[in-house]
Amino acid sequence: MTTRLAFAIMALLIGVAFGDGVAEANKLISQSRQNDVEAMAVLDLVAGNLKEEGVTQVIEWVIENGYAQERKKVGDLIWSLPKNDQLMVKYVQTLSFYGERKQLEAVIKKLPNGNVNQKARFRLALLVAEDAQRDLTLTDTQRAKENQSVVSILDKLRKEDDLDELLQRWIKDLRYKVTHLVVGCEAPEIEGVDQDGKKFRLSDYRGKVVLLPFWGIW
Amino acid sequence: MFPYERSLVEKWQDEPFALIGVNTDPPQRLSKYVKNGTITWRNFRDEKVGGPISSRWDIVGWPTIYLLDHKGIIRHVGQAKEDLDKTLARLIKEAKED
Repeated sequence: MTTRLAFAIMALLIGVAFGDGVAEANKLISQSRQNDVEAMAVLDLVAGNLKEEGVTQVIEWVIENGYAQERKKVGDLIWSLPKNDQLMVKYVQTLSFYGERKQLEAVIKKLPNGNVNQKARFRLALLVAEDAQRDLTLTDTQRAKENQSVVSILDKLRKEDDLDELLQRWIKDLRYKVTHLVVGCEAPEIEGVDQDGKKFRLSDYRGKVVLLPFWGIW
Repeated sequence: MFPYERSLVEKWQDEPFALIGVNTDPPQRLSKYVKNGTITWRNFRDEKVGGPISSRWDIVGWPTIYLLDHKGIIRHVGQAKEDLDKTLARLIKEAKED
């Protein structure tokens, strides 16, 4: 306890002595394990001098821990940082996770080619696919149209010859999903055994409405 | 457990309807729940989370529910527990009229 307190005071003194944005920001970040730290306050500390050493790690923390307003501000700042694909990929991934479509499209526009652009386009396709699946207000026709736009993003992407292996697999899986596993598709066949060990197929039940829950008891 | 599912099986037993589960438990556990009457419907054994069937269907949340019409077309995909009575009634009517 005493040691921790001593370290805290030391950190505070160092921060004050040098008045350095990154040190201040890291101090706030280290506090976040105990209390909620406002990510915007952290971001503001480094926004003034993006050339400072360690800024990238601070921005990365903000991307992971911030809300919509912080992500928006990161979107303005990130282009002034030294080129860093890893950080950009994390940003793109987070935008996709939170459904920030406009910002994702902005990245695609600003980085017209390369691995980050390809990942961003894949993430956009994923986001559109997930929205189409989740949005219960869509009609079947509207949903089919959204899924079609996912397929066209993916088809354009998969023709590019510099795709990394991971992306190739993601594209293949998502394409399979939106062409076989969404509303309007014919359900893929299932061949398996039932609880008594007897073989059967899903298509044995054609002619009947089938409710198919994937379930388990844990 | 599963009173809603059991009620569906009972309610629609004379209609063109089937509840088919894809179960991710070890077979012994599944058998236990069938024997004690908790599970009243047929299941594909998938044996574990991320089993071959769930993987093929890209299931990432449990339970995920698919609803297929009598032609085998996917008509609804849901994640949470929800009231499917109306949708089921509509699809069963479609099946009978076809």
